[in-house]
Amino acid sequence: MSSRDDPLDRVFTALADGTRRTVMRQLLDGGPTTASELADGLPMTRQAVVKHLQALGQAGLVDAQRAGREVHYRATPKPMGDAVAWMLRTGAQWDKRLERLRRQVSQRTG
Amino acid sequence: MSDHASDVEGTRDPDTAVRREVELDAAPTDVWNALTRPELLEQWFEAEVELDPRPGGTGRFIGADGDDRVARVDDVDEGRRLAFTWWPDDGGEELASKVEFVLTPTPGGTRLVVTESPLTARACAATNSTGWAWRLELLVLTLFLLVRA
Repeated sequence: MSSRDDPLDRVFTALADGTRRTVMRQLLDGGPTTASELADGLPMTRQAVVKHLQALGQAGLVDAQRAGREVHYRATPKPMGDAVAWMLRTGAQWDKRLERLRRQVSQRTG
Repeated sequence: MSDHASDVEGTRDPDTAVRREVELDAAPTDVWNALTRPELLEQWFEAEVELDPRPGGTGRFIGADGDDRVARVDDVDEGRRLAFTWWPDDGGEELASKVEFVLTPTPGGTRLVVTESPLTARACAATNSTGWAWRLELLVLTLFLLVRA
């Protein structure tokens, strides 16, 4: 049960880079596309885009599919959705509980 | 708003999915009672609570929202630390996460640190009862707000 293998860790490591977040956002908004098309809309080379796509792929966030001579990249954000949703939901629950606890125990001590 | 923000701060430890730290204007004994006595837990959990706060003791948290969890106490260090594992009653133990409370006395009262960590990847996936569309919105937002370079 190593937490190093936590999906959260893999997702956050992949998304720690601003350019990779931009690439991810483009794929989520625009749907499956090629590295060349992505590079057209970004201030970087196709090769640089491919490297970022590979890093996202290692975190399970992007899937590559060959179509003839082209490779289409597709966002597969389920790991991110699961991990982030768990974290935000759990965090929000504790925020509410701890705010109530703070009021509860403060009242008790005047 | 600012009061809340200064009292409850969230940080992220690589080994812990969710961590909250709160400074409480109350003696450690009072905080400990609020963490271990079911009738006091019920108030701030807004749930029906049963808890036997001894190592191996069992517990149950039935929330007003229908969230029904079973718990097993892992560690108890009277007045200082309480750890339990809990999971959805209808989901089984493979969906468990671990909750830990650590109390530290401070000049103004007590510092309480709460951590909750999923024990398996399935625990993350299983707690999503809401739909996929909602998650997609959430993660697009996250790309901009939550993750900072």
